[in-house]
Amino acid sequence: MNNLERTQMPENAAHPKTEIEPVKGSWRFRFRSAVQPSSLALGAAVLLGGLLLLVFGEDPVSAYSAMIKGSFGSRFAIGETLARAAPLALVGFGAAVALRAGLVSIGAQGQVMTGAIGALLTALLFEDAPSVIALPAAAIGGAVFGMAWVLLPALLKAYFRVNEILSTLLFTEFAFLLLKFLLNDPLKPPSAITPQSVKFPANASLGLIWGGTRFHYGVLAVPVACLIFTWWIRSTRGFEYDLFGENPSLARGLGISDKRVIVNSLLISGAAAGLVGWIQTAGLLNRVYVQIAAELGFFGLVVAFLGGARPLGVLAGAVLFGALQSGGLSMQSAEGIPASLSDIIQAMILLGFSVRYAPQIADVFGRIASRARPKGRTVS
Amino acid sequence: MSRLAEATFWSATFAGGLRLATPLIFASIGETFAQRSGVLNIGLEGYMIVGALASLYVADPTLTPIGFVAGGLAGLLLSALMVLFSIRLRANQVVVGFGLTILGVGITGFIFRLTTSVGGVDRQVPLPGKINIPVLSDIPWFGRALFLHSWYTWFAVGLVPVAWWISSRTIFGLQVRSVGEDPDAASARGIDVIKVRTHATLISGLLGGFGGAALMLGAVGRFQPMVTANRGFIALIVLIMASWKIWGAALGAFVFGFFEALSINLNNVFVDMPTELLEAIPFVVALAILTVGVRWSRMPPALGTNYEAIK
Repeated sequence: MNNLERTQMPENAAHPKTEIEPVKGSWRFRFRSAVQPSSLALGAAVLLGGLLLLVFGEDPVSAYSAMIKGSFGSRFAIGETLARAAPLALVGFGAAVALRAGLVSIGAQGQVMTGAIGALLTALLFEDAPSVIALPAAAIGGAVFGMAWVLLPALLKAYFRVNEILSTLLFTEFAFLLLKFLLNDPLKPPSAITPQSVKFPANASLGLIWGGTRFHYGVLAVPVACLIFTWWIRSTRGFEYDLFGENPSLARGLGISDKRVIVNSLLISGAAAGLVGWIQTAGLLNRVYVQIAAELGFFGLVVAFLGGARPLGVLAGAVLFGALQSGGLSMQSAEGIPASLSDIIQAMILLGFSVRYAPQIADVFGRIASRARPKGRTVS
Repeated sequence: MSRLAEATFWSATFAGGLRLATPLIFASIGETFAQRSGVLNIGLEGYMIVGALASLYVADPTLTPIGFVAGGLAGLLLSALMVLFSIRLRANQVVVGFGLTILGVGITGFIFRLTTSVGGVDRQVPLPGKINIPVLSDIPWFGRALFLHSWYTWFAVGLVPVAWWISSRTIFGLQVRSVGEDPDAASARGIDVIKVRTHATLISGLLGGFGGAALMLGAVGRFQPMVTANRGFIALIVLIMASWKIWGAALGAFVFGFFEALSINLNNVFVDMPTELLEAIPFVVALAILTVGVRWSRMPPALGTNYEAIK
């Protein structure tokens, strides 16, 4: 998240020059800049959430134990956590590519919806084809529809400097209306009462990895995407995009086309979100519903923020949020405590994490860290 | 089709537009203060939704004006977190804004589910009556559209000149604008940048909460999750179109409300047309405004940046 670091970390403020500091990019640096603050944020969020439960006369211990049981306590729970983490991670990778180029796209929500529509339509087109063709075709259909939905905001941003946060948000509204229209009439099976699509064709469906859970083969898209994203960061093109995110005028001086960076990075994020629409339809739900995107777009972006727009960070954030969400829902059914508690905890993690570069906090961390570990390498 | 030629159709749409715009007028005026001071306040959606819930929960056992005030205070409380994280601790404003929106949605959903039965029918307020301005509302054509509204709308409309006066004719308004133009220069002139930004952000929290309360008590009457329906983000679009000016913000809010009302009313005229197509109208207008608005609007230069006092 180079762009964020730039705005948050004035060179002179965080530490005095003499401070012993791990080298940027080393594992110790990563620990101190990511793992440590996020676990502190998680701890604080859990404590405050517990306080909230006490205020409303609920027992935090039973609530949290139901939450843990519902996220890691059984085979079903683990499958549920992974199935919920996968879309978050994919949206997160896409959002991270855009974030690295200095763009905040919160439109993934809408792109997930159109991706789901695209995957379904493509699968219906290949209904009679063998799975070898139908399955990848549906995936491509999802990705293309996801990209299509971000194309106009991307062009508006590149050519007219239209704020991408707001334009992608409007496109989410359009996607929602389109989805509502399709599921109320053209795509709705005659027998259905509530808005939903026809069944996803079996020859393009993704099966379950673990029977009896919701852990499906679509989750395997995540490690693949993670590898691609890792390669992307290290590629020349990815470096150009980082450079643009870090310092647009420098990038322009080096002959990097800002229009190309803006359009392409948003298209990549759109493709990732479209793929989420595909795995949710082909793997998890087998139909398209109005609620298919849930709050994925928002939380995927949050996961990208939390993960510092880095592959392992996004992955860790997605698993944490997936666990909180599946745990929250099972806590709601077991203890009757609203699942919104996990939203609150997620928001507080984000808020706590956002201050990791705040100078006052960094000073405290710095003092604690230097007391605990006096040895280290000095940055010249 | 012929109904489109009738004056009553347009006067009803105009009146409905003003009613739907009321929450947005509060929110976008508050946001104007925050953004003119350089604080990009994306948590507005969060302020509005906590304002909506608080106003309902206070207004239900007591009186609606008390509920309205409580809504504003709830928004103020959430914006105090924005002050703490973004202005005092200098965390990224966009990240904190998203965090506050999620927090607002989460906390209202949590409290609502814990304290109501299924569907929330036990928490409802009757919608307010309209205040009739005697002679004026009898004017044919536009009388009823202009002069027959609830007191929330009157309050919102009345707030516009006051906010304009504060923003452009008082020392505080000048300080807010200077801090958003060039915080260093303002600081050198002896203005406490952090303090001014704090006050501007708290104003946006209060007005955002009022907006949520006006939506809840004046238009919806009952809570449901996501009741604010992204109005907080629409207010951000309105500001771009308004070029960060108070009158423009109020006008932009009305334009959006007008098209929202139009899309609802057209639904009764074009019965065969898919509802969704008509529902898209206000958002298409918003996109057009966003695209064209960036051409003429001038953003406060320091918007979105954090300020660190030099010691």
